[in-house]
Amino acid sequence: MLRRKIFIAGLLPLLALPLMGESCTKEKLIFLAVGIDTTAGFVASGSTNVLDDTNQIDVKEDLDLTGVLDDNDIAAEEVNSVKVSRVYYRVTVPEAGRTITDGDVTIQRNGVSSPMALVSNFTGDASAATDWIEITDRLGSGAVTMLNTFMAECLTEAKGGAPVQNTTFTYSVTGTSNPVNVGTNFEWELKVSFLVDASQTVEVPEL
Amino acid sequence: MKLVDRWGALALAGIALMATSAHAQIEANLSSLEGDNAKGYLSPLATGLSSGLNSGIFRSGNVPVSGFNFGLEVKALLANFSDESRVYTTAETPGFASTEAPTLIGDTGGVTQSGTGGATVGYPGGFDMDRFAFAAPQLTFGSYMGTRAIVRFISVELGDSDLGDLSLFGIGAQHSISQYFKDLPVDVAAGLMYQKFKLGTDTVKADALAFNVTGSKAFGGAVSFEPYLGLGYDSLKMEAEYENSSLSETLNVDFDRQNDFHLSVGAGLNFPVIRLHAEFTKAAETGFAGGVSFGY
Repeated sequence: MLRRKIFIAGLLPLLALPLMGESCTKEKLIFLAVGIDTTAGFVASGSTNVLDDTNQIDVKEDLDLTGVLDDNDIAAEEVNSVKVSRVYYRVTVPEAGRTITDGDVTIQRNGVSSPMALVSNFTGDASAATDWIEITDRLGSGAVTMLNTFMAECLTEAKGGAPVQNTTFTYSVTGTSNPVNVGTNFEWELKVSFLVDASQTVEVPEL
Repeated sequence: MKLVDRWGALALAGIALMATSAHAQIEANLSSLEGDNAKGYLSPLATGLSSGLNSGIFRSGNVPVSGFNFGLEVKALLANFSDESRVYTTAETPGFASTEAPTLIGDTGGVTQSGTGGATVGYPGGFDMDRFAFAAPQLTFGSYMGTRAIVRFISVELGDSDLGDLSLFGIGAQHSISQYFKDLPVDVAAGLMYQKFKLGTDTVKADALAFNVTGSKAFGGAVSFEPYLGLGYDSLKMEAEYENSSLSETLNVDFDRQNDFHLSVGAGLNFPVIRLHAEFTKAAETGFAGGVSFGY
């Protein structure tokens, strides 16, 4: 009797098979959206009451689109577009009672375009360190179009097309730190994220 | 990112969980979503798990008062998702109005939306699933003072980064109420079950608690037919943790506790050593459960 029971118990994994539904698979298209961190490219800090900071960055190098796609197992051929998605700021070194007003960020693709407003009339509280705060509603359409065009060129290169030229951008941060008659000591950062539209064929089991 | 057919591996492990095959894609899709939207996207998983984990546990009100008995069982559950759970309303954010987007079980096509200045945001597609299937082994043994223990345990290491690990541990008990009322026309038992579910590297974690009262009556002798009715209360707490690629941060999403009444109506066919049962379930989702039990 005991031997019989042990034998039956040993069959359990096999008996489980018909209870597990169909194992057939089906091809489906999945849309993927992947953000890209560009924090390193858009850092600004203010140490005077009137902010006026200009820097140059190589957006292609900072974004490393090919590396991002590799990290997410996305082939360049599967990508439909890469577009500006969201803009954020955060305060990393706060100062009590400090605010930023009339903040503007312009960006220029060197050798291609004139400066265009990326973020306009930005106001932020710098009295406490913050997580990323979205300010996409401050975005300027000209800069968005310029960046989207640039990313389309980067995607073309990633797909084996012509290498991208003029990859260096100049960005300028201006604004007022309040109160204006008191010395300031705070830092804040700006981040732009991009959306990657990709289509992949995956196998999804169904019942 | 591409998935392969892993049903064979799952079968060997003695478990099939529909959602697990979509795990890698879940992480990829979540990576572009922020807190509230991730919660909306995953919301059907909470109801699916609540129904899946808490069904098919108790199939009889007959718990012997004493003597050794045990059963080794395989339980299977099929929960049907409602059409409403295929979409969710995205959170309104600076620059973007709210819109409707697919949930995890919704249409495979994602949604893109234009916002201020021509910014574009994307909400990933789902996996176009109508049902949620779940199967797990279960061990019951007793009895001591009309009480038997119930244990579920599965740990599946699928061995690559696509799927990660899946684990389920459950422990519970069922206590005979009939022993206190000699003239009851049916067998009645109360049961309690706690389960801990984990998918991926802490991507989805859930704790489920089920309380149930089951009444049943067996007709026949060595081979018997045993209809049963179960009334209970399910409670499930789920949380998700994932890397948001836009913010380069790990985000934790806590879901509201899911509480549902649980009704099960079913019947068992009891042979010596082997027992079969099937039931209709109305809980967080409507579905069917069944199982095969070996024991005495």
